[in-house]
Amino acid sequence: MGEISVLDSNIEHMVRMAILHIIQLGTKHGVFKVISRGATQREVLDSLDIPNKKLLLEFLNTLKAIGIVEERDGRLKLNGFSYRLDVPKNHYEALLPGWVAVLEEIYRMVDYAFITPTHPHVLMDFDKDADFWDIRMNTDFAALYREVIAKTGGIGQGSSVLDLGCGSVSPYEFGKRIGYDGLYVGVDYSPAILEIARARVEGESLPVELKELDLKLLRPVNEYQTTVMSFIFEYLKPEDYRRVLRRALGTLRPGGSLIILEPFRDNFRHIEALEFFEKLNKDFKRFPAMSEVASLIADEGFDASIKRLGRSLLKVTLKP
Amino acid sequence: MFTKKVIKFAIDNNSAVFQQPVFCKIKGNSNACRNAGGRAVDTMIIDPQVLRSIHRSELRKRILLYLSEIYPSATYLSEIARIVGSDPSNVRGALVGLGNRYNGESSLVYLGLVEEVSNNGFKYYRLTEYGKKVVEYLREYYRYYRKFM
Ligand SMILES: C[S@@+](CC[C@H](N)C(=O)[O-])C[C@H]1O[C@@H](n2cnc3c(N)ncnc32)[C@H](O)[C@@H]1O
Repeated sequence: MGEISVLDSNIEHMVRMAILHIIQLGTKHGVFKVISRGATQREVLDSLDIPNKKLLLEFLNTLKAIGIVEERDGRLKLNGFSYRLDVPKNHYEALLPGWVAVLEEIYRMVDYAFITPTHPHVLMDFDKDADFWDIRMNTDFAALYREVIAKTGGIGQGSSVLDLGCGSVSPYEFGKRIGYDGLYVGVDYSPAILEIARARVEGESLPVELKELDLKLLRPVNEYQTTVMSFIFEYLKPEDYRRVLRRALGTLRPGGSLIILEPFRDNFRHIEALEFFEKLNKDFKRFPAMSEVASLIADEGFDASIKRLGRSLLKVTLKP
Repeated sequence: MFTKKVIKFAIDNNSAVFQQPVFCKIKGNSNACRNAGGRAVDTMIIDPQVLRSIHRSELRKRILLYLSEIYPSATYLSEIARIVGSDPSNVRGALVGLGNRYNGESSLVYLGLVEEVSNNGFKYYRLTEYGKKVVEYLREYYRYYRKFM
């Protein structure tokens, strides 16, 4: 099994497991019980003893998006949802343990977020909880996607790389690959994440520069051989995609490539289940669709080839 | 940071086994073992709340740093107390819990960061493999915690 399909299998499994946890939450908090009486959305919201109504509403919307619940004549109905959690024989060994442990922590946070979004057990803020994010970006799954990005983007000794929304682990990991004669520039808007990234690269004399910046304010410089956007579109509003893509492509030199990694929503059915948990981070918007990103790039008139690699990877290469 | 004089103490003939990451022994996973020194391969969950609480407690932090300096050796309580400049009863509290000062739940042994080893009727303390990882994270997060917590 190639690395890209291992990546896709793991994302697929994340989504399937998330559905299971959505069902678990609905059972635990009595949501299904109330809905089964044929209540309206308002009645469900009012009758459940969950103080954070905004999150409860988000939960109901998730149930609708997945198809566990439908709204008919103003009433919510359970519609006998069923799904399978298959692990084909040859995929077992491809499943990576690291993300399971992290997602388990996140499932647990929902119970606290149902009380209040600012509960101290909710650890999803990029600044306040940069330690949790760092741990999340340090799993075997993250090591795999970095490997895939590096291979797809040709990142190696002497490369020049711009990483948009770099997080706290990639600067060190990519910096090591690039070696002393290359350049890695990481951009991130979280000062806390960058503080951890700095602590890790300092003293290693790696060719790493880190900049605190909102990537929406990026200036095109035509400098880099590879620009990386990994798990970052999900924090952008769809109306900003076009501008960000234009600028990201504008950072490349001729022949350079932009690597986009995302659990694209058009490729993973029921992705809304995973989104529900990611939304505990206030900046999370939604996972993008591969088709919308690809067509925006085509629209922008860049002389570029767009390659869809598996279900979660896009490689856009400018003409040399 | 601390004086280098360390009483090295080999626990028993199994010390080589002890030095292996826990999950290598459990899973017999040679890949995991090979990568254990690296950053990414990891099946032991690190709880940020535990890291934060240790960061806030100077004594527990000092004990961990000292034990990590002499890792994988073990040492006895009074030696730890002398090195970290605290009295033995406080150190015992931090290690295994004691009355109300440090309740057992936040003690280093209870959290699995330090293990207590008995040998010939004496008790010795040593950083666990998990504890070693936690110390690594504490070092990396030190500045972040200072600034953002
Ligand atoms: C899920 S992490 C991914 C990190 C890294 N790219 C990786 O794949 O390991 C998202 C990162 O993007 C950063 N981020 C989100 N929105 C951003 C924006 N508009 N500008 C800059 N950084 C942003 C966050 O601070 C966080 O570090």
